[in-house]
Amino acid sequence: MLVVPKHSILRPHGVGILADPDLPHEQQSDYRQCIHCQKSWKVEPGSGRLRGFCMKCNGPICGPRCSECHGPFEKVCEDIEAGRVPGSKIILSVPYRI
Amino acid sequence: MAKNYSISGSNASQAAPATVLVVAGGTACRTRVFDIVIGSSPAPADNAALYQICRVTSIGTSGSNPVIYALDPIDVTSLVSSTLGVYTGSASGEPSGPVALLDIPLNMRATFRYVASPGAEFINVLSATNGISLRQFTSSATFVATGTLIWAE
Repeated sequence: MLVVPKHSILRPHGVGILADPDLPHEQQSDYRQCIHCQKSWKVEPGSGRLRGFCMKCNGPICGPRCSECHGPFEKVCEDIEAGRVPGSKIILSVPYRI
Repeated sequence: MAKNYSISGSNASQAAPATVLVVAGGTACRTRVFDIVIGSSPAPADNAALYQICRVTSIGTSGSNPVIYALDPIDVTSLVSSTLGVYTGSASGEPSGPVALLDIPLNMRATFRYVASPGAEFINVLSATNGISLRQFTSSATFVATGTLIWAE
């Protein structure tokens, strides 16, 4: 039977490894990353912190401050580098026949 | 295929906030930091600190430039060193515009390592003087922290 520890998740975005001389062994923790801003947090069920999920970007978000969707962070990066407002849409002209 | 590089260094002995390392790709390349190690080398004591991985918009007053090592010796020199460079923190002129991406509360006696999964690395914006920094944001006492950053270009 596969046992899943309470504080682990499938496909974590990162892993933290803590080595403390007061602890008998290393501690490993799973981390998740916000799809909008790349902020990472340790997965702690029952912490009371409000997280979320962006249905457009299909990824977790760090909290209410990231609830407005400007696209995934890589897209925001491209917008900033191109001098566009993050989240702006590029309108392509489509040829049509009258 | 991405090339991987690493740097190590310590912050200046100053009251927090004190930057430990900055990797500034600037406009030359987009750095993807995927491995972070934090610890302290002075005599152990029960002091606590909050470390942060931040995205910064300026590198501040440069301290010393640590040597950049390619993980594969056959790789070319890192593009980061040829433009803005990387540096250990100095006693003044902290990088500006920090946006914390990862908070790490850590006791001085402990060592912490963070490894990002492929596709979830910390990326800097391809703009001048932009980079990723490791800093000691707050601490219960003034002590020197040592960090290692490994990134891909």
